[in-house]
Amino acid sequence: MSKILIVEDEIAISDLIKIELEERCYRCDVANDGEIAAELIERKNYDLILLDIMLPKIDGYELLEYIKQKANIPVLFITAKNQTKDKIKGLNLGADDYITKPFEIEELIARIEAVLRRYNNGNEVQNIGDISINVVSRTVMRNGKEISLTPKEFDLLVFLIQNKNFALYRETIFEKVWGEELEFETRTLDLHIQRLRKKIGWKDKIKTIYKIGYMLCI
Amino acid sequence: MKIWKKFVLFTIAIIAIVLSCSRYYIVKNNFLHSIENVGLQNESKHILEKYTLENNIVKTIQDGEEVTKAKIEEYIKNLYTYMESDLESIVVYDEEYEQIYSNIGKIESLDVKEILNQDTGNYVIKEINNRNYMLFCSYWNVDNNAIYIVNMYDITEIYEERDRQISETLISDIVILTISAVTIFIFSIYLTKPISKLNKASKKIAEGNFKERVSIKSKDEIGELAKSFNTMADEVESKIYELKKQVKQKNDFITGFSHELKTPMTAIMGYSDMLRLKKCDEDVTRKALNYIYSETKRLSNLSHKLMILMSLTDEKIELKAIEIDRFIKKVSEKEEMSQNIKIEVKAEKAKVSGDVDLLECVLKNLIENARKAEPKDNKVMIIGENLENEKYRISVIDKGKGIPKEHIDRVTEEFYMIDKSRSRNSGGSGIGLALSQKILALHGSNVNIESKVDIGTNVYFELNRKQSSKK
Repeated sequence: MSKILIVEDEIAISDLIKIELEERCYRCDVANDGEIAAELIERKNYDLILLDIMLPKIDGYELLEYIKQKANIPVLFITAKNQTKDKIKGLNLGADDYITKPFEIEELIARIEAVLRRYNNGNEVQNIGDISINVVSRTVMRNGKEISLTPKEFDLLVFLIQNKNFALYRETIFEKVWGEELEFETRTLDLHIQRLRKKIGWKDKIKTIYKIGYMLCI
Repeated sequence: MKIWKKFVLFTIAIIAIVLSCSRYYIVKNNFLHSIENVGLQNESKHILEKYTLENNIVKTIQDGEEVTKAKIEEYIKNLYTYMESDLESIVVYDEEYEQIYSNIGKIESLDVKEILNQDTGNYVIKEINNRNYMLFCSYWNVDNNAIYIVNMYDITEIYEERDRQISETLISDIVILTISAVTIFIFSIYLTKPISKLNKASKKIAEGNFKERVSIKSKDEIGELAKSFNTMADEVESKIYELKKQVKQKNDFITGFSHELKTPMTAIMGYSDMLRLKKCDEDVTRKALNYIYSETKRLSNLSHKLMILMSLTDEKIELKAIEIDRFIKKVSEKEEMSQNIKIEVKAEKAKVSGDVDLLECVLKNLIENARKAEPKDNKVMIIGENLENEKYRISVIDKGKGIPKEHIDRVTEEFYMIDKSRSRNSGGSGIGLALSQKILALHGSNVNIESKVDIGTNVYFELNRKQSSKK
């Protein structure tokens, strides 16, 4: 899996990103200041760097210039500054994308995946067992045959894959897939899960966890 | 219309009017005077000629000869042969006003009665054939016949002289006016130059170039105006600079504040989202909960300090007498417990004026900073001493890592942190010293810092000893 360097001086946040990324099978290193980061970049190869702008010792912009000089590693910067000029400065210095604090981890993950996709062309297709999922064209194939899914069914599938091997709470799944505006309805979620199991043939892979919700076991 | 134009036109107009009035008066007087002189001269000539003629006629009568027209003509011719002159003419009329003799030919327009009957003086001036003549007329009776004798003296020269004077003065006036116009023009340009300088400068300032000044050294009103203009520009520039500084400080504050706010928020959001989405194992759950708690505490701390900071901005506080030695000991004991550090207190007895709650906040902050400097002996010293000038100095001393020189001036700025990761991990938000500084400013004091890297830091402030009525 891809190797990611997290450059962030706030231990709480670097830890959070690390936990979340490792759950999704990324390998992570953490640098708490610019100097350590520069050293790590010098020694190791990374597929992506997550870079905070306000850093002790070496400032994020400076580090960004250094990274872009050294190698073509995609960089996604994190900033608390909401001003357009700061974002433009980062992007002009060669960053591939940015995210502003406070951010939701899901958005960060989605942006990381998008940047990685752009760098390794064709990686938008994910293969799980006999199923291949293309997040760009939003199609699901089994043995070269397309399975037709409704948009919500597709979103639900992608979400389950993103959080595979974790027991997920019903309410939260609903909120993440359907959005916060809709009132939670167990029946809607249960119905979609049943249809997914049937269409893809993952009857035993999508498990029902008692009192919690569902889990995709791969 | 520009000022110099107004100035030139106005002055030239006045000079022209005054000049022409005086010229007119002089030329006219000269002319009248010459006429009068010539009049007197010619009158005596006329009288002389008249008597000569009369004598001849009387003699003719005495000789018993008849006075005829031919005789008179002869007399006159005789008279004029030795008085040859172009400027004189003589015309003689009989009683029917028929011309008997004329040495300038027949004159039609002459009215002898008019000349005789005129009231003022004894001559008439008439223009004949484009020349001006002074006419005298006398008459006498010969054998009951009246003879009129009219003398015409050419005075065209006087008129010519007058015209010559007029044209000469006209030329000289034009020259004078031209010279004065040029002089006044140059002078007014010289006078208005500083004004256009001022104008240019103020336009530049209006365009936003606040550094623009005028250099006018003269000591007149314009010089004074330039001086006050420069003073005004100084004032405007410093105000603008002040405003820019304030805006920058505000921006820095907002940047710092949003960073301090958004970072814990991101962490809290992330960890709580993680917990509510999936069933995590014990270790991760614990870690997440710890982070949520500590970040929430950090936010609460920040908001508490911010509240004090905000409330301090404009208000004036009421200062009361405090027994400062007891106060220091009390605060130290409290902080020793909560911050887990040894505090050594040496405080002289005194009463100072201040606000207990706010000063406690200051002292607490300084102790906290000293602890965060990681003193080698894990000890903080607090010294209170009476100074000579009715002041009381409180020093908080640690043997910690010190503050690098280039940061000392800036540590009292809001959200300024020398080493962000380290100070934040020890619970700092970068607002403590800014808050202390504000509180002490309300006490008429400020934070002083003496520090050497790796040796230690001494932070001190001075308070007024009691009775002081400073508010």
